[in-house]
Amino acid sequence: MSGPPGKTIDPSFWLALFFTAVVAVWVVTAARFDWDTRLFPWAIGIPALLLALRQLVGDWRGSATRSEASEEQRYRGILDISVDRTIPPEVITRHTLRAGSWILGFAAGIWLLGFLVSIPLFIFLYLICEARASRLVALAIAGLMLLFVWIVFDQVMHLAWPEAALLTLIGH
Amino acid sequence: MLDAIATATGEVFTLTRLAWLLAGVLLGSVIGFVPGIGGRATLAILLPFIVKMDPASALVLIVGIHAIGNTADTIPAVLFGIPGSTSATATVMDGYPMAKRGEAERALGASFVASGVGGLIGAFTVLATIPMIRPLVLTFGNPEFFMTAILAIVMIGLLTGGAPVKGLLAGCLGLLIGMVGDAPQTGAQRWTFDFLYLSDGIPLIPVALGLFAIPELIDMTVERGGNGTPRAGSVASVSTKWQGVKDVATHWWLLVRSSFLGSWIGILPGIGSGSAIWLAYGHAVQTSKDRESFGKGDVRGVIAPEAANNASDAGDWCLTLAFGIPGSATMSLVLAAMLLLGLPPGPKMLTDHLHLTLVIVWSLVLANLMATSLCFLFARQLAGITRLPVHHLFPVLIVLIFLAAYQSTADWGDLVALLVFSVIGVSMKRFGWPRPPLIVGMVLQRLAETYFFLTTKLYGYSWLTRPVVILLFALTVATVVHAVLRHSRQRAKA
Repeated sequence: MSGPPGKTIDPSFWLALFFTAVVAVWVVTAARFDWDTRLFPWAIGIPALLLALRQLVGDWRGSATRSEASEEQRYRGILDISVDRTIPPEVITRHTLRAGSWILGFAAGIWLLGFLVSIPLFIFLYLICEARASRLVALAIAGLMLLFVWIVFDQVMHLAWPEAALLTLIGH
Repeated sequence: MLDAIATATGEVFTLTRLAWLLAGVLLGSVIGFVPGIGGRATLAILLPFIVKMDPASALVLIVGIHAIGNTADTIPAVLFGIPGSTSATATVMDGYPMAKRGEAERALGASFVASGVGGLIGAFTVLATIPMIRPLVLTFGNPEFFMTAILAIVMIGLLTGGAPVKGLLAGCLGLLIGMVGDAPQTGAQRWTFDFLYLSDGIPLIPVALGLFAIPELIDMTVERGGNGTPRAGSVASVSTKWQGVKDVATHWWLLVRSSFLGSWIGILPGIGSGSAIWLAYGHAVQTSKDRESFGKGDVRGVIAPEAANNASDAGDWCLTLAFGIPGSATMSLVLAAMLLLGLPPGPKMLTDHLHLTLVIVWSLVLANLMATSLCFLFARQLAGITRLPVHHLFPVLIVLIFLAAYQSTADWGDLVALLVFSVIGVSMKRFGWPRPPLIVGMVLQRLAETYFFLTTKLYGYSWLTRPVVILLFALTVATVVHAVLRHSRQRAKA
């Protein structure tokens, strides 16, 4: 990814850009609120916008000097759970996208079929495809999980399950 | 006071009450283990049954459920990086990295003992300060509460100093995201984009799960290789729960300080354990010489928040009883239960019904001992879960996370919020943006805005001259200056 001539933009820049946009929208749209409603959003939003712009400029300018530094050096001293930076970034991206696809697939399953159908289906398919588990094990884990969810969330907590789009469509 | 203590002791130490307490602890431990559900759901389920009990037994049962919730929510936080509740978010920071390097049992041992001792210190602190609670709370007015919230956000944002701007910005973002929905003073809708779901604001649980749980689960699949089996030596148990006990003994002074900090935060209206844990964590980092080890599996990062979490409980309870101000969502349910039991909260709980308040304090002491013993007993078995192949755990945990997020308001929006904040969480972790300040900002937003509004309306500019405000303001500025100087020095060295 190239920015200024000879520079590689730090991926953190794009996140800073996203946050700057969000804060800017918040601050600008807050102008429509009455004074009491917008007072606190502005008290926080305006300094936040300045901080965001400062970070954005810093990430843009610092790209050249930091592009040669390792991720470990670039993100040192951040208060958060440390990332295993020994794993190549492309491997991290590949696994993240793969896991993300399963999560999105599960979310789509809930939307289409509802929780109680998607849960065993998702667990069974994941165990077969990713864990290479035997069908019996996959079936047992999926069944036990469904039983647990049904008892705790349906029978005890009476959770209001969302309507499944597909079942609604076919008139159930 | 002595009469009330004697009456309360007599009421708690009966076979029936102790049995109710144990029942509460056992019941809470079954459901409390499920991330995002914990004591609140258990209390909500039991509310219709509790009203038929005698008040003391009902209170004892409620305390039992509540106490185990605060101890057991550590388990998923340490084992999978999934905070069982917002009170366990700080424990994830070092507990989970410890589990990743095979020290789950040590982390659990340390957290359970710190929770237990913290709970005891908190209970006895409140017991000792009951006559002073009212004047103590009244020394803090709206401006002081507002400044405390700001100090907490600034402190967490600037904690390690590696990226002060990112830290502060993340805290501000948390505050701004917390503002979505109805404005607390005017009721006007802010940034809801005509979505009914957003009118009550974005619930904290899907955000916390999205920011922390999903990124850690994804990383778990990345770090343990393609087939999902544990990498050689990476998660084999290399520690015991007794090592955790030794750690607590070694860092006893940190434990005591964090417990007192938690006790103090507990009696401040509305702040609650969600902030106490981060302030204690921040205190542990700031008072350490080797602060770079935090976030990489430093046991002090487990001890401090766990002690503060349970220590804040007693204060929170007293505040709910004496002032009718719940410090957390769970405490709102406690308040409802008390009203249903015919015990209206108010100053009378510290005078006419003092024995019932002391029943709660006693129950907290005993429940903490029971909860700690129960969890400690099974620490080895619990730690064994980390040795299961990650690809067998992944789908089960994803299902639990989705359910925990969905039960926040039982709306599609919960799942959308979970997915959106998962993407943000993954990106923030990957690209070196600290996530804790964002969650702290969200936790403190309503409190900060309410007190800010009241402060400006009631005091004009004169609030800036109040001594405690000046002190808190000076502390905030000192924190910023210190962080900026440290960051400049680090950059100069590099």
